[in-house]
Amino acid sequence: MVTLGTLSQGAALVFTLASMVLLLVGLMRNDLRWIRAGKRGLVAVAAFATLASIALAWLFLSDSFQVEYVASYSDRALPVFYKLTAFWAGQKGSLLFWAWVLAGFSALVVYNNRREPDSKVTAYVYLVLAGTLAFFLFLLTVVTNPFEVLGFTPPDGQGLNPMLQNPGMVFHPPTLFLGYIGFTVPFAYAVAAMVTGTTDAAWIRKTRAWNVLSWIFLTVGIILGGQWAYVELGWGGYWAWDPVENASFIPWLTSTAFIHTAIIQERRGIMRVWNMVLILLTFVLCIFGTYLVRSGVLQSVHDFGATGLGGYFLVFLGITLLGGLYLIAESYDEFRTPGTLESYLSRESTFLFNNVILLALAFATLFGTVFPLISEAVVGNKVTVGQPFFNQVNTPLFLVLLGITGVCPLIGWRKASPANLRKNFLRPAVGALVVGAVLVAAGIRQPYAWLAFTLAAFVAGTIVQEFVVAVAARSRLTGEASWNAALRLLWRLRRRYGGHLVHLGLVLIVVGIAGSSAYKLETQATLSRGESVEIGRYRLEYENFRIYDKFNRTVYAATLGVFAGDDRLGALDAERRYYINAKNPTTEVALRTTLREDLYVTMPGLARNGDITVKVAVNPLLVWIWIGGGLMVVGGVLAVIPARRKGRAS
Amino acid sequence: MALPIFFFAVAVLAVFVVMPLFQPPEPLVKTGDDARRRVAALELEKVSYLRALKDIEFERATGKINDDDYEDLKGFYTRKAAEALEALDRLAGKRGGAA
Repeated sequence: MVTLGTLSQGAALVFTLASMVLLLVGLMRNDLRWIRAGKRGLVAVAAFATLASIALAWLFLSDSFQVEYVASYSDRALPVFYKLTAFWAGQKGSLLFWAWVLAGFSALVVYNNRREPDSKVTAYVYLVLAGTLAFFLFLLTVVTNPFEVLGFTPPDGQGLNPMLQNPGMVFHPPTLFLGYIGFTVPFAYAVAAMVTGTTDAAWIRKTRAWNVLSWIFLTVGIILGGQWAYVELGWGGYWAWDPVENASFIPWLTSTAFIHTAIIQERRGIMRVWNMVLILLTFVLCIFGTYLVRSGVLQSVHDFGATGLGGYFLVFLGITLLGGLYLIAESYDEFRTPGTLESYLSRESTFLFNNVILLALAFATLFGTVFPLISEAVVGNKVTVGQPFFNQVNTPLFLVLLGITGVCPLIGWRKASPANLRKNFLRPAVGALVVGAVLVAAGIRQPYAWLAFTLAAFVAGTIVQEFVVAVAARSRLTGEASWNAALRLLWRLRRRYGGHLVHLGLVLIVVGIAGSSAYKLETQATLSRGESVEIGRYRLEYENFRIYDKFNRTVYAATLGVFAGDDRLGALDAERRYYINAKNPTTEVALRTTLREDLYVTMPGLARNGDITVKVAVNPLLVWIWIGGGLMVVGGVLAVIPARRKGRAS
Repeated sequence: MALPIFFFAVAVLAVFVVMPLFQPPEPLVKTGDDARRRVAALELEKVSYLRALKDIEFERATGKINDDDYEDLKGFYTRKAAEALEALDRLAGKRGGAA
């Protein structure tokens, strides 16, 4: 299997390079046969990348510890499920996963275009896809081979980092990677449009599903990452502005901006150059994110297996960025549109403002993330900017963005009159002010939290009003019953209402973030059996202690009874786990989740006499972050369901 | 067993890739390709303006735009859709003439 894996990824590289040559010859000779051969080459690459991936998965499942990568990330006691997912636990496997998925996506693009005649545009699309594949396959074949053997067979492997033995971490990396990789396709189409001077919005329409699906994967990946950090790292939070978290968040911001302005180009034919810039930025930031995840260039909670690939990535990033900027500059006159925004009171304008804010957020986050590198280059030592920097800069920007999210659905295209705005915004604005007043009366005085809740109420109000008015209008026009009109509207205008659901998800996330950040309670106590600790409305009593073996670990579990007043609400097991092959024990979070708040318990200390040290936190409204994230994904999926094709032939 | 599978895959896929090279030559950019692409782009443009017309009708019904703006926008999108249709007709005429 080692030989099969090594040969397969080598063959994938050879076929990728052959594919590039065939495509280039086809373009130079204006000969369709070479283009067809080139695109078939991409299908062959997908087959070889699949073979290589199967080989690596097999090596993990069969405990083939003579392979350095397998020995580093697996051991005999590791459950089968985690043996499979150890595939992407380190840098080498992650890169193979990247290459495999991109090869699969490239083959899918070829398949999707099967009914259309090949053109220069598609040839350049395949060429860009092949070029990106060649980079990753080169790294795998020449620089960091996952099939490298040790020269001896150790009796057991070093095992998977205990922190990665969590379901969230199983799905978080691949979903994030699917998002990163997916943006290669719209980028390839954008490059092809610029090279061939195809100035219409065809590339935007063609790649809409790729954009939205990649955005959905990125969203899922970020949410799962936050959830993993919350339940696994044990520090009580879900987002630490860690470099790798930021690396996924920055392209999420630029891709969100792109999805909005792509709508304008589709609709009005304007902002063509801007969209090229946004997709270039998104793709470059996705590669940058991949680079940060395993490069070890910045200290991160994700440093599970860093080796030096920095130089190669920087060269690839440099070529992509400079090449992209050159193409944009070259095609600027062709793509520049005479059309302008006709009014500041229009949906286009709100999209543009949202772009400005999203890019400001992306820039601020990027600056804070790479600041250690900048400071090292300038003053010789890495100066890290902490959470306060990100929170101070980004929180006001987020609130402005939230406000714009409320304005978008109620404002018409091209221009809206002040009278219409008054009519549309009066009720949500009054409703939000009433909510704000109630919040003050209820004792919510923290300014950012108050503003966040009030704006959230405004945005939710605008969305609900928009839907209610639309249902009433449809009901009036068609005579359908309200529920029927509502369902039909949701389905027929799923792109629009999918977007609204995404916005509603954002509202819930903001509510969760504001509640859990501003009103979090925390305490720490050392308890003997029978003693208790109080926090907020809860009392936790140390009731029992157990030691047992499970799978590849020994578990020390303290049972804490949870009381509110005299009512016993249940029990929580806070654990310390000692994994085979792990140097240090890990703490496992005990969690009681309700819609109102999370009760969060970890056990950082355990004395020989049985006393335990517990950290307890109450995180108000936190669960709404995950619910909001789920709603965003549902909205995204609704928005991307394609319209039924009427008569393909026509 | 693995190696024979690999070499078999290499042989099959190599043949699969080079097969098109043994077909009769065919130009990538044919005469009339530009016109066909222009027609496709105009069709998309037409559809997009017709959809915009339906959208503004809905936006007027939901109170997002008033009657004056609706008339203004309707005029704009109708004119644009008509321009696309005229361009399509012109191209169809040219292609008919050429044939």
